[in-house]
Amino acid sequence: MKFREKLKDIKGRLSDRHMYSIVLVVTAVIAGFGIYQYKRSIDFKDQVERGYQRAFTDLVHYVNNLDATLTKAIVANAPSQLSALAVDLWRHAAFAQANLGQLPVSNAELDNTANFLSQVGDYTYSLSKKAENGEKLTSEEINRLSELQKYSANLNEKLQQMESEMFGGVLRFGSFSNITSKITGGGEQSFDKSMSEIENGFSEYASLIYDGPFSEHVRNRKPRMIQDAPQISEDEAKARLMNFIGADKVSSVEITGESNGDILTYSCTASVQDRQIYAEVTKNGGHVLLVLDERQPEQAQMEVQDAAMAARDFLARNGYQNMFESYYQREGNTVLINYAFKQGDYVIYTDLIKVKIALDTGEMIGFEAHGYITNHLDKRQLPAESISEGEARGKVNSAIEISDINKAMIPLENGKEVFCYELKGRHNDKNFLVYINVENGNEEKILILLENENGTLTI
Amino acid sequence: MKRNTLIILCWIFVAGSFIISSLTNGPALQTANGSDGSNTNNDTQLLARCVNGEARGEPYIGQVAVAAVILNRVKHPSFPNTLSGVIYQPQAFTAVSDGQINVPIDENSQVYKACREAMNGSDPTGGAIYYYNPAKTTNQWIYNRPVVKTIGKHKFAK
Repeated sequence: MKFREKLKDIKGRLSDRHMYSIVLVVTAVIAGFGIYQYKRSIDFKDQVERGYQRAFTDLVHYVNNLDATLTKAIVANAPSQLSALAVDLWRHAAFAQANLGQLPVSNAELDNTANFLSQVGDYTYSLSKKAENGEKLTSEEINRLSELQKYSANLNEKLQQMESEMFGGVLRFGSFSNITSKITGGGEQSFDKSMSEIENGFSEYASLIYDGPFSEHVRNRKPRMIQDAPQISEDEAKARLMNFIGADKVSSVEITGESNGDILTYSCTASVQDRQIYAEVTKNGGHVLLVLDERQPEQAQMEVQDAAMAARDFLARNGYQNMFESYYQREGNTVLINYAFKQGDYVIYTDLIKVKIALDTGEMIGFEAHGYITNHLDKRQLPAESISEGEARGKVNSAIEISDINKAMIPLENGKEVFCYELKGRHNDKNFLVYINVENGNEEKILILLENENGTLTI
Repeated sequence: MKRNTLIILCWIFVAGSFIISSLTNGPALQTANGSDGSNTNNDTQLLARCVNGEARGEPYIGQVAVAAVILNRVKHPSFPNTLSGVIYQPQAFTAVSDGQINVPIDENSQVYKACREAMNGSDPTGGAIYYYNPAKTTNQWIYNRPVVKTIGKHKFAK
């Protein structure tokens, strides 16, 4: 009864002074607004879906090309033809991978697929370089190529199928459409699921070992300095760290955990005065890998040169001999200096240590020795220099004005270490470093030197 | 008369706020105050924005670790080959999907310095390419990845 009365009451109120029409208008406005917003969101959803469709169809296009090119590469006879095909293949694989990275699927479902795309172009390119140098491809390598082609054919087929599903309106990319399909009961294939099926097709894909930067053996190289070194205890690690930072500075060191990454380490925290310093010490051999001190000096009281001297002292004190400054970068009141090991006349760039010095006290507030620990050898076999300095100059582009010539050992992308002349020169207002192999005169690498008041960067 | 005008004004206020709230966007896209606009500065700014969204409030070392994971992904064959490719990869980072990637980061802030640290080569994660907060993550698959270490509230995995 009360309800009826309430209704009557509302009706009464509405008929009072046009209230009825006002309420109606306002409701219509809000409803119209709601409909407008809904339509806009549909538009956005479609726009996003179109973006995904573009990325997907591009992916299909490039994988198709990749498959065709790889098939041709298997039957190519002349090294120059293999080279040309390898370049094409690398390009298709790179674009395919870039488009794959734009699709809304979690990395779990495209780990192997992306891996395959990274390696296939790389691998073929390394084989083509072999062929160019006159080496014949081994039967194993040719078999490998055939295997890769089988994978690419499989991938191509599955993707073509997915593309048909997409054009047929069955395959949708955006995750919001899954809700509707759940409600309507299906007829829609989810993109995630299709990608998982493709990913499973790669489960037998064994990792490739070859002459390229993505090869397993290059990425998972065992660090040289700790290979056969014995494991140290936690107490030993604490003692070494305390000594490293300075027994007079450090009040205590605690082990906070362990790291099971590419280098096994103890994670430590050293207590210094008013703050804590994070550090890592390798379990094997007890080398300090990393020191991170957050301290920000208030002002600079020394020049970079003095800081470099302080850093060199620090390194010598801790057993790192023959380290020379290569590049530095100033940040606020600190400076980060790169040190490379020098053997004889050669600056060994792979054996790299980075030291951060505070420009007020000259103390070490940062240390990073990943490069050194991975690559350092006390004595490398120095090559016979078949090319003289004069000949090396001749190998450099005549447009470059050469100002300086040194010697260095640099790493190539496939992990190889080459000994070179390092020629510094200028062209068109830009500074370059050109590396000429001392054994065969090959132009191994060119770097651009970017210098500003904060330091030097090489690219 | 007064009471009815009040009611009408209330309705207009409600409708108006509806309209205004849906027309304005989330955190507006602002430009960063990079000092010289070189490539490395923009990369660092982008990295800092992502790390800020992912690890704001974590200690310095935690932020360096998250930045290092992102940089490790760029080098890893299973991920896109550019920094922006890795950061903007769909479903990779919540900071991107909820718009925090558009918040500019001050170059003097802790997170920016953490990113510089990581870009200089410091990697406290030992090469990890995944990280997750075990208290919050709903993704079951990530638990199968081998854990390298734990920093703060994040576990880092390969």
